[in-house]
Amino acid sequence: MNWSALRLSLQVTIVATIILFVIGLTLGVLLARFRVRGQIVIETIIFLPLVLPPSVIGYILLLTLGRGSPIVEWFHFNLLFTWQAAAIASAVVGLPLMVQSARAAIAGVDQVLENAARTLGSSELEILWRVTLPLAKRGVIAGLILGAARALGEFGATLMVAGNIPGQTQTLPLAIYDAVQARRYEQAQMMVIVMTAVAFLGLWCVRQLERPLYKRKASVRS
Amino acid sequence: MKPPRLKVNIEKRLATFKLFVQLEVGAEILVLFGPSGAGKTQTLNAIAGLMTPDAGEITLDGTIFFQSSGVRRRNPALNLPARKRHVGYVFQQYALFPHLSALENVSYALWRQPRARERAEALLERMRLAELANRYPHELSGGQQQRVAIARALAMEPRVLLLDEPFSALDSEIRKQLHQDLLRLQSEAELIVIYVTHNLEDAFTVGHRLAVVRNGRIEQIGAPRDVYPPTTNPLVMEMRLAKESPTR
Repeated sequence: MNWSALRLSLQVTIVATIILFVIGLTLGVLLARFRVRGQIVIETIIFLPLVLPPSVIGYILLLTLGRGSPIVEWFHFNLLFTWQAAAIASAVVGLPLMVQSARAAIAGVDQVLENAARTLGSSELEILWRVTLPLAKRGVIAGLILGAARALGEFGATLMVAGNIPGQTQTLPLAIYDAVQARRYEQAQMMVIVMTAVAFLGLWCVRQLERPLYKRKASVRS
Repeated sequence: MKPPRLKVNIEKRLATFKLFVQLEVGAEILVLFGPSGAGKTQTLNAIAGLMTPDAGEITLDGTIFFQSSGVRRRNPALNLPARKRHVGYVFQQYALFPHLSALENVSYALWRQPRARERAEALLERMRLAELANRYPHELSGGQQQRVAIARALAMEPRVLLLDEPFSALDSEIRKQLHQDLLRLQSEAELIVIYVTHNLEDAFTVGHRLAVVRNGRIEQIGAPRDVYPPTTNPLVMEMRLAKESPTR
């Protein structure tokens, strides 16, 4: 077992999940509740990572995070070939899953409930916090798990922006590739089992979350 | 009857017809009666601030809820947001928050206010719901949910209470009981109540006054006995007199 790769994978996934939560939830709320001109273009851009080859995402991220990009010039901070770059790449590929799930859950909250909260004196932000998000909770968590699972498995874009430096940027998927190349099959096998088990657990949780939350009991109906 | 306090005079172009409503309501129960799609709910939404009229004016005792630029003479339109109107609204399908218990639903509007819990408990008590405080909406019957919805709307001590087809899904025994509750609450708090229904029986038994709404317009308004279709049936006459003599 490659422990440094496991540790890096966890680190990268946790940071990617935090990014996913903040940005994905914000986008989910905005897309579910507002209609703006050019919305379809924005949505399409968010969903692009779902279909683009990882090398294309990696290339675009290289341009965004590399020397000469406005972001790097502004912050005077080079992210390329650090684990933080891997976290950003992982977040980008996980984002469509998070946004899709969160948006559907928020759009599914009955607007009459939000109107009721309005007449009861709540501001829009308070409604989001006290009504909409608690009711959309399951979909948001499901999206977060899916996004995190996808982030954990990120390979191609990570390789391009963070490299494959053992102990620094080499996450589990990269370590598996390396182990197979070096014919260290037993080590690869162990990591394959870990990855598969985690992915299975994540998807199982998502299925559990899909069950309806407030099911009316037939017995108390009048 | 007390001098009118809620004044509504609005116009709104809707998909299939134009809403044109003029009302003055005091501390009484005014029933808006009419077929579905006549503009009754839209009228309530305009008063609550959930729908913005195209033109006109809505005021409550000098507080301007809505005033279009036409009325305000070159000033921009004034539209008080729903959260600042303090209008109690009981929605057609109860619209209780499914993730909150009965008590939490009732204390929703009392958030960050002193003694919120005690006040909510007192309200539940008044609505004969004290023992159901910790139940969730899906664990309550339709009539119980409706009483929670009324308690929740009353928690912020509104001057105006709007009810949209409040008891239409309930059977007639429960409806009768809830009508009595409503009359009691109205007289205790001197509430301005607007009660929307398409049920003929409700229309003629609940309200102090009755407005018949069709195609977005009020066709007739007055005491139920004046709106009654003329009848020669002695039993109906008798029941009508028996019902009306105790009111006012």
